[in-house]
Amino acid sequence: MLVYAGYFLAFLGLVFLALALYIWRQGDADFVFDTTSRSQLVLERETADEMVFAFNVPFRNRGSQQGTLMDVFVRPWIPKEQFSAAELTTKVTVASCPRSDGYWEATLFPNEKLEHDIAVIKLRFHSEGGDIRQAMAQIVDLPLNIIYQVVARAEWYLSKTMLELPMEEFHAAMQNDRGQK
Amino acid sequence: MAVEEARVELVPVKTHIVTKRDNIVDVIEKYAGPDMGPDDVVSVAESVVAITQGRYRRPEEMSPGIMAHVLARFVHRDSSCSSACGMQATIDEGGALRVLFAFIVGGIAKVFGKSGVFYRLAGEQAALIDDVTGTMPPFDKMLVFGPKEPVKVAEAIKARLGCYGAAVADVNDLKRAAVLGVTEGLQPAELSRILIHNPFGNANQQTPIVIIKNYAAAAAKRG
Repeated sequence: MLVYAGYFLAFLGLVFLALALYIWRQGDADFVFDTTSRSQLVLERETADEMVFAFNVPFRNRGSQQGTLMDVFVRPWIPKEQFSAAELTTKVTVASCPRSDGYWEATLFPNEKLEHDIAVIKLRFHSEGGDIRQAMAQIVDLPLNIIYQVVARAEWYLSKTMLELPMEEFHAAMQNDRGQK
Repeated sequence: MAVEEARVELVPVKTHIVTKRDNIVDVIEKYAGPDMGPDDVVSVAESVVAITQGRYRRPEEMSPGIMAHVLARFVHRDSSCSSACGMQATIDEGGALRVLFAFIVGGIAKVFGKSGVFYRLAGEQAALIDDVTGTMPPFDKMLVFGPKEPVKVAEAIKARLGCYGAAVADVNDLKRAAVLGVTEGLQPAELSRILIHNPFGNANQQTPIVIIKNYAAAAAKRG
């Protein structure tokens, strides 16, 4: 009896191993935001009390399975102790299917893509004091988390990628805009 | 009795974004009622009916079990059951034993070249569940199930609007049209043929209702 039980357990073990190998071999979606290849900041819009900067971050699904980006958002790490001259809000959209409302529409991306899609990130600085240029003169290096939610073969998960926008890039964007006007 | 398609006219009707706060009969009466006549059949997209019934869930609200994780791995990637959450939704609707049975039999059938057996055995909801991205915002981030009691829904629509008939349909752009519930006297196969080119449009067009104008008159003429 014990022998048969042992055989049965061994069989179950083999089945478990086979399943594990199959799942491992099948793989899953794997999204990567290539922050090293991002574009430079551009000052997209300016009023007396507001500036909107934009930049692009290429991303792709390099995994072996297609997957859905359920949500993508940007979380800046800029506490008021460091910079309080303007309030910052952010929006992210896909360049191929842009939205202006800040809503990330869940999108299925094919697997093993060699070409990148583009995430367009917009940073809106609003100065309560009414002089945005004066406020932005105080800007510091800005760490940003790109946080994204993935649904694929496995259970959904959140992941994040960090990048930092140096203050010089903000100044250059404002300078370039002034030069073009 | 075949209906002369040349005589019927398909009129898509735009609505607001329907939610679980809406009653589907009220929505149809509001947007399609003025254009409806006694010879017309009104068809409504099954996903919208399901949404008004609250039949949707977020992946975050679900806890896929081991069975869902494993079975999802063996389903074609384009199926709503290919994600752990999609498969768990199928299990929740159809029952674990039934889905496991369907999986085993479906797998054997697949070996012999016969597809679709899993969906036929796993329960009527298995083929109706839309995984995330399957519906327009804000339901793009949710799994939307099939509607409950589509025949009763169709009957309620007809009773309120006084139209010739009503149908709840599942139609997509891949030339697939399935009629889930119809009122008495209508032929599901006939309606599927009429709706095959997806007059509901894509999700972003917000036209979940289609009036099939002159259906009764065309059918009578043919008969």
